[in-house]
Amino acid sequence: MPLPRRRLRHLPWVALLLIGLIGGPLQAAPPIAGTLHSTGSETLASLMLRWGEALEARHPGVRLQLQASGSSTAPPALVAGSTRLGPMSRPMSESERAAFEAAHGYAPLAVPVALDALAFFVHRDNPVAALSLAQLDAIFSDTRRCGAAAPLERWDALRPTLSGDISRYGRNSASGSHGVVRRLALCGGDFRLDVGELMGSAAVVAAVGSDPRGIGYAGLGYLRSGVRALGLVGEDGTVVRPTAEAALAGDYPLTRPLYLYLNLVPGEPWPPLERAFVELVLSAEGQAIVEELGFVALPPPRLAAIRREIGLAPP
Amino acid sequence: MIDFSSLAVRRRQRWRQVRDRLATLLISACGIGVIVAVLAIGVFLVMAAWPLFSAPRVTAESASPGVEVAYPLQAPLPAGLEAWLREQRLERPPRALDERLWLAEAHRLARIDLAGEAPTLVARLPVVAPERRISAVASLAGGRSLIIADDAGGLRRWLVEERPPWLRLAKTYRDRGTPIEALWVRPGSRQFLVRDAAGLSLYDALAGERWRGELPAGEALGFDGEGHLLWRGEGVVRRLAIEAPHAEIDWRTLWLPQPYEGHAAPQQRWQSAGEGSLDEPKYGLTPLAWGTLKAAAYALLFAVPLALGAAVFSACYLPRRLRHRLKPTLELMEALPGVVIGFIAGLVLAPFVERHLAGSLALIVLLPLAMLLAGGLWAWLPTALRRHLPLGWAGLWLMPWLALWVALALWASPWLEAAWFGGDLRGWLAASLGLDVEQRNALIVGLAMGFAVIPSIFALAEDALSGVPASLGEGAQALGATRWQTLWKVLLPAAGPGVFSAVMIGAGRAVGETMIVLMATGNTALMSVNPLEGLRSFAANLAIELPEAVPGGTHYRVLLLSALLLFLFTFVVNTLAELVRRRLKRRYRRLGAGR
Repeated sequence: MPLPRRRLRHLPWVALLLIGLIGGPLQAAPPIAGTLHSTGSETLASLMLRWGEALEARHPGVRLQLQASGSSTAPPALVAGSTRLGPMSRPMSESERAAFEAAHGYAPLAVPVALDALAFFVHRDNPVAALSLAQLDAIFSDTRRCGAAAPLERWDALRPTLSGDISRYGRNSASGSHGVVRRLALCGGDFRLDVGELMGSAAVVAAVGSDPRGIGYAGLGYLRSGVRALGLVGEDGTVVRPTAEAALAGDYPLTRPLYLYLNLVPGEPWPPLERAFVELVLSAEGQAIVEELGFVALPPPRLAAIRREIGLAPP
Repeated sequence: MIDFSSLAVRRRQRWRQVRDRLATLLISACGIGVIVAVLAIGVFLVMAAWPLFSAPRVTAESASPGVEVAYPLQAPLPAGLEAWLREQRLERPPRALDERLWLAEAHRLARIDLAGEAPTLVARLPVVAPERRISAVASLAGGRSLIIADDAGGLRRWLVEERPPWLRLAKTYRDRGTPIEALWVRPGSRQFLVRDAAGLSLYDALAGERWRGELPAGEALGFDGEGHLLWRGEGVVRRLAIEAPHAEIDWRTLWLPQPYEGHAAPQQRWQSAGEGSLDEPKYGLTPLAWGTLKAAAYALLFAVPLALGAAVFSACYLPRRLRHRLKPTLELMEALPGVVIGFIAGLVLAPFVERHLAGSLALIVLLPLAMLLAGGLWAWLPTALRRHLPLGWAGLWLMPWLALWVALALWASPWLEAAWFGGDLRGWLAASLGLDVEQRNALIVGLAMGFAVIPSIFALAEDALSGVPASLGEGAQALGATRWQTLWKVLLPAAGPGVFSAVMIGAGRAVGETMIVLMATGNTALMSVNPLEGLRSFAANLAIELPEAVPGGTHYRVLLLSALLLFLFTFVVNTLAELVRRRLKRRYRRLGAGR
């Protein structure tokens, strides 16, 4: 049977070509391998987990070991040197920074990696323009940890010209927004049991748009024509409109930047593991994961600025 | 000489046999395969839920060299606070530190807030009986619960409040016993270890004592990174490996009210926190079971009268020719996907009903009344007109009549609301009847799911009714019974078990239905009978949360446990319905039915 043999004749060449194709790049750049430890924020846990997975996909052989028990666990771990990555959902306090500098002789590197922002929506005919966080807590929570004495059940309690019960809409408990509202607007308390749990932010906005007595929360980007986004009344009485600019400027309270703290000796080249990780986090892929998990991705100019600042090549 | 014909016959014979065996094999393999698949799903669910109920294990093992204490038994005090305490001449009493500092002073507990410039003493709270002394205090993750032990063996959980009385007793694990010497909270969990003179116990904040064993000799050092206790005895460091991943689950925490953080009274709640979150997860299955049954009940309330009416109409009143047309038409309803029904119910019907709430509620009363009225009017009609509106075709000429009433009710809805309820029916319902109104509520689910369940109830009930031997009905009518008497006294009792099984099948379908409940309700895990409030069913809850649950975690396993419950419930209901139907068939045979 001559035909198969003729076909087989090419096999060594094909195999060689394949080996060359696969092995070539591997030889060109030394593979990054090893274990990256991370200790810190629980908010960032899902993000870190997904970034870790993406990193493993990019560089097989890299593992991210995650310990997420709260932002406050990051500084001690960075000081003790048991971790080199410290994800935090707040900036380090002065004393934490001082402890780090005392131990290492240089300041830790803070890299903003994402924003956490949400808005509350009402029906477009609803004249209420802004609420305070304590009022939102009194509307949505039955633990009322932000300090309101009584729950808010009716719209007339907010504005006498209005009437009717408040109907509350929200995301399902597995979503990131659910957790963010709990942390930022309810002071970590529980939602009332009659807050509707809908599938997806778009469903929340649609439900509020069809219900003149409704109020619901969703990511900032879900503003539609049938609804209005509520401003937030600060403690001094000023109103902050929920806009991406306000969120990025840090004026909008339902926002916070999320940081990655790194223990890097200034002036020395970055260790390849950390470099690969931060490179991924500040890439389009890393920021797509941010959006996917319900956080606000850093705007491209800001991203480029951050990359420049910490000495990474522009994307 | 070869007999070709007999050879051909024999070959054909053999081929026939082979084909028969092959077919038998294939068919039985398919049949057994289906049964095995169902069993396998059941076994999988049981296996997934089983670890929830396995007892926690604590085993002493030699620690690997180089293992270090990651979490000390007691959080170290910040330097400033240490100095302040020395200044206040407080030696080292039992204490706990979270956002505040809790110091034991004999039978009282001092709450010291640390938020301001200097620590401030807020209150001294008597938390144990005056003759006892607090022997240990521990704060659970999040700083919302305190565990307080005393020297008479009492062990209690207190919830921290922002207002006086500052602490509220949530649970008494035990009131007396061996004096408790120390409390150690496992990092990253809501479990704690209790050391007394007699031994060591593992407690879960909700479920109570989950393990008790011997106290190893030596002293505890702290927890390692995975939450296992390190122990130094006879000069070597040993590790007490604590395997209690699902310690908070037992049948009480699943089904009974629990004292959750932040709530004054014990609550039945389903509010899962994300996996690995320090928030207290609330796995109360009762509201979900309630929601499932509530949705099914309202669906049946709507579907059973309509489906049975249609079945009686088709089996007893319709001419045979038309009946064969009607049945497939009604069964076409079943072909509508649940998502579509749910979508229409949630996004079109729910806002509509809410806008015309008064009219919609009035219709529930008005429609039956309108039918009665029609019956009454019909009897008064002149005979000539009556001949144009035959009773047998009432279904047809009633439609415009009922449509008229629907239009009337909807048109009068705002007027009704303004005249009787001060323009705000929702407010009136809440104020005078205590009924809250949600846009996506049980009524909407009842309508939508009822619509989905009607075909299955109709099909079975119709089969049962038309299967009643014709001789029974004819005999009754020959004896002078009216149509109603024949139906009520003869046909329905004869077909009763079949009708019952039809309703059961409908209930089974309603309990397992996912998409309609998911989309037509707000998925609020409430426990109320109010038809204007929402609900959360097992199936919808599974659809929402299962994709996000970490496989192998407590949340995941509790969800699969609820899936198992759902499976068992539907299985039991369907089996029961099938048994009843089989008995009915035997009865018909006895009564002399042709088939």
